[in-house]
Amino acid sequence: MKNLFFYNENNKPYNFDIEPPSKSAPREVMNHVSGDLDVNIAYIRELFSLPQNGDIVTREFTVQLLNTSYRAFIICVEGLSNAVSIDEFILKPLMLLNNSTDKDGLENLVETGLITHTQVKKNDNIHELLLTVNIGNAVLFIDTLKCGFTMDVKSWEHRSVGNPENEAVIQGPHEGFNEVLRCNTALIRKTLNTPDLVMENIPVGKTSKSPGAIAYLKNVANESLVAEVKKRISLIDAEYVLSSLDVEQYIEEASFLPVPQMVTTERPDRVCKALTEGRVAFVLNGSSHVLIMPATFFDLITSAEDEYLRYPYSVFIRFLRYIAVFLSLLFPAVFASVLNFHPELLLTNILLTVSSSRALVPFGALMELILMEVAFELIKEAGIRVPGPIGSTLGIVGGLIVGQAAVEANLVSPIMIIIVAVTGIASFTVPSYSLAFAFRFSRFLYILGGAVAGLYGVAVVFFINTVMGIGTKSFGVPFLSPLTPAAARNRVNLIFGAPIWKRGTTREEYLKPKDMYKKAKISRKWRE
Amino acid sequence: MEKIGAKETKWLLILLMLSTVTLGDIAVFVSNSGTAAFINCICGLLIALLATLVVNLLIRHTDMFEVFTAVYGKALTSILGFVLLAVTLMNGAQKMELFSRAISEFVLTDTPRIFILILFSVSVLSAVLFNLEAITRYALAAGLVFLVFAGIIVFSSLSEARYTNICPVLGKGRVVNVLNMLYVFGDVVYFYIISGYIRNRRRSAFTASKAVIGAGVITAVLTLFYTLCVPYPVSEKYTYPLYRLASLANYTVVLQRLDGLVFLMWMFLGFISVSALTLFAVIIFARLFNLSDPRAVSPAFVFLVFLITLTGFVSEKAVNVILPAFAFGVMPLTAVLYKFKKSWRKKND
Repeated sequence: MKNLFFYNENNKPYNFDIEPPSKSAPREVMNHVSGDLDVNIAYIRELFSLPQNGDIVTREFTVQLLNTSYRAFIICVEGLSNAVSIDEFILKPLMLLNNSTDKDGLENLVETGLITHTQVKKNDNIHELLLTVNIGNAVLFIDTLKCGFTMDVKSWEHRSVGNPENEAVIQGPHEGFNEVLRCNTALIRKTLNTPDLVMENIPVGKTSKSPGAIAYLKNVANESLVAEVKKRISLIDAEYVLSSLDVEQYIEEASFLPVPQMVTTERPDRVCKALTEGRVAFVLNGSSHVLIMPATFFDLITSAEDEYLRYPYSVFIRFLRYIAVFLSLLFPAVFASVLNFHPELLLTNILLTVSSSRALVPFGALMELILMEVAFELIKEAGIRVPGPIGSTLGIVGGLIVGQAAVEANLVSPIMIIIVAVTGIASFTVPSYSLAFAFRFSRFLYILGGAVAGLYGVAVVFFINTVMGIGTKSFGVPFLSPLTPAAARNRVNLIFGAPIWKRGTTREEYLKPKDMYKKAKISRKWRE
Repeated sequence: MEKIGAKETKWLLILLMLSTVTLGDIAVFVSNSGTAAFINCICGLLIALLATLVVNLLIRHTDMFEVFTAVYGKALTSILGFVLLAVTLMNGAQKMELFSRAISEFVLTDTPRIFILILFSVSVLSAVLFNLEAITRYALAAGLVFLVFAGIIVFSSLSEARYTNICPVLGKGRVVNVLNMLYVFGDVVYFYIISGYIRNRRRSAFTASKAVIGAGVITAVLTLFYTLCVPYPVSEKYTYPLYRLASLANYTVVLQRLDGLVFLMWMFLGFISVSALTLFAVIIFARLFNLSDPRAVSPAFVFLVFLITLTGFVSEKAVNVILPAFAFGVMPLTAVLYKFKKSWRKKND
């Protein structure tokens, strides 16, 4: 009875510390498949930590060939491989069929006569064979054979092809990449529909060997550009590389500059367009973002939808976006500069309105601006992190209620709310998430410059910022091409756009493509 | 060092030559030649063009140090190199001084000059660290913006132009005043230092001449419009003629002031020209001491230019005499001697 009412706590304090790792004996490495099946099985059991590993499925069975029975062993991963395919096209023929006439050709017989599956590869390297198990293949070993067979029976669960969440458009395709390499490469291939498209396999990561593919058009892309991309990716010396965004950081030239040097996209149509221009793309399994290289400022500032809009709308949107870029970068800084250093630049009635709205605010314009910008960034960051429905509520609470309360408490002026809100809205028009981040970061430097030395300080930061932009290269292409350097053609078209039939007849010179010809000078032949 | 484009180099030279023109040079031309200032600009342009053409035609693909060594030997080349280095540093400091003074007078009236100079040096340092390729590319982009701004200022002042203001057309009638304005084109001498870095040297042969034409035409046009809009002798009283020209514009309520454009021009021309001159000084230093990667000494040179500006150890006259003397005296003479020596050697062989 006593135990029912009283809890006897163990007085001994519970303490756990991670102990230093025990020194395990170095694992014996076996490079080639042994002719003795038992040796292979023992090695596989040790390598895959069997039987602790619950999802690894192994099966020993017997193959009957010319009245001789051979022991065989198959290994696959539950959840990654298709059990029906293994049963129907691998195990059934091996166990039930016996159409052999020649014992010497056992390897060939198994590969060509018994396994009724489309993708079978023979290999004598046990490591290469077993690596394919982790991506859904089944691997078969037969006693006396010094090779194994890997069969593509992948069938894992994955996200289907859906809307690109971060690059949504109103007009244009609504297909987006998912996390499956072959699905993504298929989306590109079916859109481009050309045998010139090359999808070169390239595994990334020393241990993870994450399957990846470099995509380019062999008759367009510059060979040295393709070679450089291949070189940088293949020379990544890291154990695990799990996302294409990791690859971006490994292969970019200047990591400490705020501007991104590659385009990351979820849209197959965008990748296809880039490939037709002579760029190179990189697709990685497990990542729904594809990298496009090289990238210029004008690639990052262009949205996928610009291509699909009729010219008058697209040029309007483009100009609006350029204005938005300047607003998101410079508006708060210029406002703080004018207010602190150059009030004579404002018209008298505007100056009076601004002064009266700020009369009761205890902070200086700079402090007020920094407070508001930090608050805005906090709301933005919190809105992304919290779950969907709460995120929008947070935006309303943060933006409306807190803003209104701050104005009523005379902590900030209404004019400052307008400045920060306009800046925030302008920053949302930047299509590239990475570039928008660069602008968010740079905005604070401009505010600082404006606070320190007015418009002169803003000019100093602008000069440094643009020198950085001009000095930066993405895979040998200057970041501000085709604005500068001068060698670039189609400059006006790229910056201001043009009707689709009027755009340049050649590809961009700065990409140095193999084939400069893009389309006929008169592409609307019906007008002739 | 990386290679640069011929067109970018041309624009860098044009901006270098125009940098002081946007400040007070036009007033100097007007006070020297009266209403004929723009004619003097054209005459100056022709003399400078002739001199650069002589050099370009005689020594097409060779840079200054190679030619100097071939003609004068190593010792004299070193002496000439040191003179040029000192003048380049002073030129950079002079421009930093002029631009920072203009900014101080108009934009930051209450701010201590040293503060403006420090910020100026920071921007120069960032450009110098990004090296010659970035600066030349910047010059190309800034050149286009400069043309647009200058065009707006000229266009907006058209309503104030009176053709009677340029009469008498020959002004003070003193042709000798042409020589007094040649210093504007003196910066072309830096082409012979960086010509070795140009990507396509065959295309670059007449870059210096093209730069002289560009800078000369823009200078003449700006001077002409200033003379047309501001009558002489009032015109020689303004320290900053382009600012005066910009302040004449008035588009009623919509756009009342254009002087902001002049400030922007000053700031960016100042940053680019001082950065370029500092980098040229670094390049000359590297050539004199055979440094393979001169980037390490760049911050030191920026600091040196800053110190020279701060201490006021700048002889404006020395810069304005030695640079044109180099560009239009020493260089053509050396080119002739080089050609002569080469043909003489060929004959003897």
